Amino acid sequence: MTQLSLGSRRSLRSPAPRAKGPPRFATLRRILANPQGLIGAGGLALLVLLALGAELVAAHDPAAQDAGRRLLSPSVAHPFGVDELRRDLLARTLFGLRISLLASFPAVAAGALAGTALGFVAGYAGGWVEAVVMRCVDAMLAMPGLLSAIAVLTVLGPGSISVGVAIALFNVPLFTRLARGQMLAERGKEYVRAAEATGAGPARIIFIHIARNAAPPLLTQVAMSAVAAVMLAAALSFLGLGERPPEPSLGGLINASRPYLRTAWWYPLFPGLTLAVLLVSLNLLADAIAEATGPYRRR
Amino acid sequence: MLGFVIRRLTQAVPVLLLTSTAVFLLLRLIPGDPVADLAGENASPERVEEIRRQLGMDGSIFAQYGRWLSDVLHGDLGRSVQNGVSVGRLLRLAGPPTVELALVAYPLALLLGIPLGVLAGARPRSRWDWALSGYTAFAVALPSFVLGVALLWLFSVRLGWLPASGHVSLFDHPGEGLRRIILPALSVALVMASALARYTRTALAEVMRQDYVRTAWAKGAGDRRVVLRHALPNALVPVITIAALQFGHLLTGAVVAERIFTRPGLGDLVVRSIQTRDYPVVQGALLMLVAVFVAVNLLADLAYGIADPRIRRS
Repeated sequence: MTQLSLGSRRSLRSPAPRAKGPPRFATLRRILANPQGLIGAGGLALLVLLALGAELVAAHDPAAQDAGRRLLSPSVAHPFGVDELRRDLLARTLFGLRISLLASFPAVAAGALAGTALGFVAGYAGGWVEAVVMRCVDAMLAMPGLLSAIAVLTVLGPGSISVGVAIALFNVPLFTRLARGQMLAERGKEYVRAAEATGAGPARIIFIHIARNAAPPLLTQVAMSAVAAVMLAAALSFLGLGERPPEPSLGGLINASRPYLRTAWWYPLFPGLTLAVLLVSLNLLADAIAEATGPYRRR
Repeated sequence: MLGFVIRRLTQAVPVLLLTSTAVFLLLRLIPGDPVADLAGENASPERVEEIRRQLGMDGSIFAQYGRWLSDVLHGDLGRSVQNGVSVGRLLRLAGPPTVELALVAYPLALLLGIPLGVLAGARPRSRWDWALSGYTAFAVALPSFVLGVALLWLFSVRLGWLPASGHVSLFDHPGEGLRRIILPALSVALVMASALARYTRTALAEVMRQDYVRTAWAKGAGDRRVVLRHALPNALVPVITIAALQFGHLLTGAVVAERIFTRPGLGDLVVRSIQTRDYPVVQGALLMLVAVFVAVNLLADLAYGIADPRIRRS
């Protein structure tokens, strides 16, 4: 989003303020100094903590079927209500959040690492290696994400792991293209020549010297990919192609609630809100990272 | 121009060939033996062989590929493993409801997104610009399926204005068909429109800062004339590409909307076929979707060439 609006602002007018303190955490501090970044990071941290501590926060087992009536509205005992099998919806939402995060974040990380490594190597090597890699990347980027996801799910069958693989594969070409561009921009610079002159090998130059300087746009892409991954994982769960039934996920809970919309409005509400908070936090964070690391710092 | 068209058309051929090969390879990539899985544990060897033949998985891989490609080029996409119906027939049945959804949702998204983008882009930081920011934040937080469920709850469960599900052909019964397509089309279009509006805004705001626009102001042209006649045509050129890319979102949105509003259609067919491991149906549907997607991109490229003469000369 930020990248889109960049062109419209007189971005180069004001140089970014220098962050105080050691340069090591300067970027992090710049992100958190931005209200967007602070809210985004706070929201994300809260949700991750809730997902990690689901056993502690929720008083019930997500699979346990309580005695009593079905589809109870929110109460003190069950703050998010009870589903059609008398299971506590707070517990199911929190455990569902955990599964949604587990299906998307590690997959983005894996896709980002693989794609970045491939892009760096392609950009550094040049020649036919680069040509072959980039043609494959173009072909992969030409297809909408859903079609690649369908292809992966056909081969591996429905399930959380397949969703993760689909997300990772979807991210590889994005990062390859970005990392290659960064590599092309960096490799002619003097510090690279200096490193070569000191006898550093290609691996050391690529992954130590250049990676550090090429990181910022990749970091922004990680945040943007996380948004897309959470959405894709939730949509696939909603379609019934994600985790297997007794396991809850945010998308799966919303799907399960459809037959009961008439009587139980709270059933889809809380998983939907959790998903919305997660997506908004990630988006704010992505904007803040882009602003803190981009060449057009606004604040 | 003709040369440009021919060049673009020939570029589409290798893409189609490559993706169709990928679709062919899908079945062969499945871990284990999908034929044995489909036949079940107690299947006789004859039955297993029959399924293998039905899936076109007998003989060498090159023979399989040759046969598959020739079948596809002859319009034969095989038969469903689940009920023996030909894939072509299933696609012909599932296609029209999805096409109807696209025909309503896509123009709706353009009609909503582009004017909003123009209003916001003509005057950055105006009230319309803030409205667009709010709308974008809203569209970003709600995946289309959450939005769809919310629309369904509000307009059919709470207010009872519109039916919650089902499909009636728009062409046979326009009134009832329209009533049933409004909500699914909205759930798809609202998400697409926010992206279109954002891109239009950025493109227009960029053009508005150029010298020739200032010249237009200077010679005394009014607001409306400067924005609509001078700036907008140039700003819309990049929007063509985005509008074509949004077609991918349209497909995704349709799959999800069909699930929410229990409409028959391609998305519904694909999801069910993945769940029942009906490989020929998934392959056929994927092949068709890829072809449609390539065709849409081709049209966008051609439109781009018409809008910007520099492109067709390069």
